[in-house]
Amino acid sequence: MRKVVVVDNHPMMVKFMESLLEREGYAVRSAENGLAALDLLRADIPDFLFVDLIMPHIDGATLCKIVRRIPEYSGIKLIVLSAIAAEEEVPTDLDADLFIAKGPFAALGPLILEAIQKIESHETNKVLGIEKVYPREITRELLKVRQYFNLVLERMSEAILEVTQEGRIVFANRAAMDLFQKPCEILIGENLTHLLPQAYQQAFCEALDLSQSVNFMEAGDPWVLNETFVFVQVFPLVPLDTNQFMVIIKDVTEQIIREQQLREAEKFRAIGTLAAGVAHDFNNLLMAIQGNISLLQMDINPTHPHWARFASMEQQIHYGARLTQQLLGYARKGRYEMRKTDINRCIQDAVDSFQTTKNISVVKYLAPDLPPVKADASQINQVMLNLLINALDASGEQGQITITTQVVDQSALENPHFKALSGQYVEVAIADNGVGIKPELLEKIFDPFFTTKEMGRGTGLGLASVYGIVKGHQGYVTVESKLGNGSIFHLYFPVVPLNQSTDVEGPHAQPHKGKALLVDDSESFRKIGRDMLIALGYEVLVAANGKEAIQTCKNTAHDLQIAILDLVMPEMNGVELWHHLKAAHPHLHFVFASGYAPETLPDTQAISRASILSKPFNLQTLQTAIDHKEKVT
Amino acid sequence: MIDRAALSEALGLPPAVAQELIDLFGQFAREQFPILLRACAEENRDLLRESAHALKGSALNINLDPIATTARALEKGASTEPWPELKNATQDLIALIDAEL
Repeated sequence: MRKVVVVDNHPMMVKFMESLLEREGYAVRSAENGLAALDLLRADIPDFLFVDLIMPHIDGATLCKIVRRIPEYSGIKLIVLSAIAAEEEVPTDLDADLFIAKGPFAALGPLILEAIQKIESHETNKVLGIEKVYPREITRELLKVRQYFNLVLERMSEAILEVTQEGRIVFANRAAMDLFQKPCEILIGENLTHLLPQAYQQAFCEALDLSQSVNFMEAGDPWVLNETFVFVQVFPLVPLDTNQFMVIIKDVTEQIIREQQLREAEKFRAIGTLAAGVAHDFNNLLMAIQGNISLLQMDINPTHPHWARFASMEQQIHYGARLTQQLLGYARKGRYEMRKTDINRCIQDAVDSFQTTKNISVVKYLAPDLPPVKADASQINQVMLNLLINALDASGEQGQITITTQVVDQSALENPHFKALSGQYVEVAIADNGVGIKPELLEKIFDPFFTTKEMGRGTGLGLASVYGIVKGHQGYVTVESKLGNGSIFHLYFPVVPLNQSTDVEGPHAQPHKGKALLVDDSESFRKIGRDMLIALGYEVLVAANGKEAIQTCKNTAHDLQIAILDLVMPEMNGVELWHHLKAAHPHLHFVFASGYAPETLPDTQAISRASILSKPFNLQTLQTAIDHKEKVT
Repeated sequence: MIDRAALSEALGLPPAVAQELIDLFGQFAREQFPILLRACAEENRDLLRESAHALKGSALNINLDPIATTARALEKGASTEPWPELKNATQDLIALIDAEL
């Protein structure tokens, strides 16, 4: 027995068709809308499908498209029942086998039977009954309005779906198909609830059950669908009395990423400022202690019973200074000794200086012909060492650390939660097979003073300085980790364009001795610096700020030979003071001192060409800086 | 009154089916009555036009020509005629359907 499905929302038409076709020996099933029709087709594929165009829950045109796109339904003969479709030119986009113009049932009956006969004899793509059509202006208007809104909805950037109260999709625009990565013929008829992650299903079902408008955007965080951040809005189509719902899903991934990056940048800027300030003041304190030790050591020799204690104190000062260097590295306040740098070479140097008593092997897969990056090699070395030490600490007594380098495009860095500047990058991946990092800790590992290591083993500054240094190189750091399976840190450094030169000249040695001017706003430093310069044989003039220094120079410039300037001072900083003094006293020689790390100082002509003393420093370092100072011209 | 035998013959279907179609029309028409009345109360021309249009098409399907003609007149006038006339025409249509069925 030949099987027929009739799809029409008017009970009279359905009854008429059923009676007519059953009388002719067909097995007839009927559906009042497109969604119910799809269910009938899934249960049993008919030979003929009669479709009305204007219906709720998937209109006739959409139903035709779906049927034509599903291979299993390719044998179905499709007949559209619509005067409007028939009045126009044969609408090819519907891809129906035949069109019948709806009219009085008395005339329609023979047309339906004739249509089946014509299709059986392969006479398709015809319009039957056009002469019987009575005016259907409203139907035409409805179709036009529907076409208009479909056109608008198709072009919306938001995913827009219409669902039944059970959650079944009866309309989906292009953005919705893209979001769920499903074509129309698959998406229509599916239950939207089942396409949502389980965490959101209950809330979504409740919104449908309660028939209330719910804006999940206001209710909390965005949802994550197929790695996309979205805001979801559900509202019932109340005025239409259809018991259907509109679901609007807005992709807010870009916005969320921007907000996250802004929050992160603000957090790191705030912590960085704090870290830099603490490091600066701490360096001044260390400087005072170091200076006094240096002076005391001048009065004794290595056989003195206090010599070893002084040495121990110096060692602690060095340790403290290393901490402040890490802090300043995190704070990334500015200038590095940027040169074209071979990252492979930095890795090799770091691995060579890396020592362990554990049975850990370091395996390298370094890409040959890696392009250079603009970097401070010593800082990169520090980054590598920090990561190697972390990998070592995360590993057991045995294990393997794997270092890989390669050139990647910006797209390799990106994921739904992360955007990078365009261009090529050198990627360094450092992988261990250690304990891994708990997922809830991943967001915190780059925070300064955050450590999971036992007391005394970690400062919480290693990864913070890695982050700061890499960001200071306009690079990116990402980490992936699985508890129990180790971690991989990915570092990305921008590749230097071929025509860009970044080499800088080094300082020239020029020994010098004589009268010295010491300018610093820190009283303790002025005191200890003065004593140290005296100990080195200089006659010392001191000034607490720029104004005092300028006045002092006016009075004594004729026999003043060297000026040691603090860089960071209120009112007039070291560089501004240098401009004043340099103009008035062209033969004066300058050394800058700072509690900030040299690589974090502002990039000015004065600083790039002068000797720089990092606080704290000992007597020998001071002497070396003076001996190697360069005359600034 | 509706000639059920004539309808059955015209459709080529048993009288019972013709009766069923008439009953379905009656059911559909009575669903439209409150819509017609609401359209008049709210003076909503689009709603009145759509409802009259639906009644006209359904009546034509089963050869209920007097009802179809009255509904068509209401549909055509819905956009332009003054409301007192439209309200009267609506009452006439409802009365006609009641009488015919």
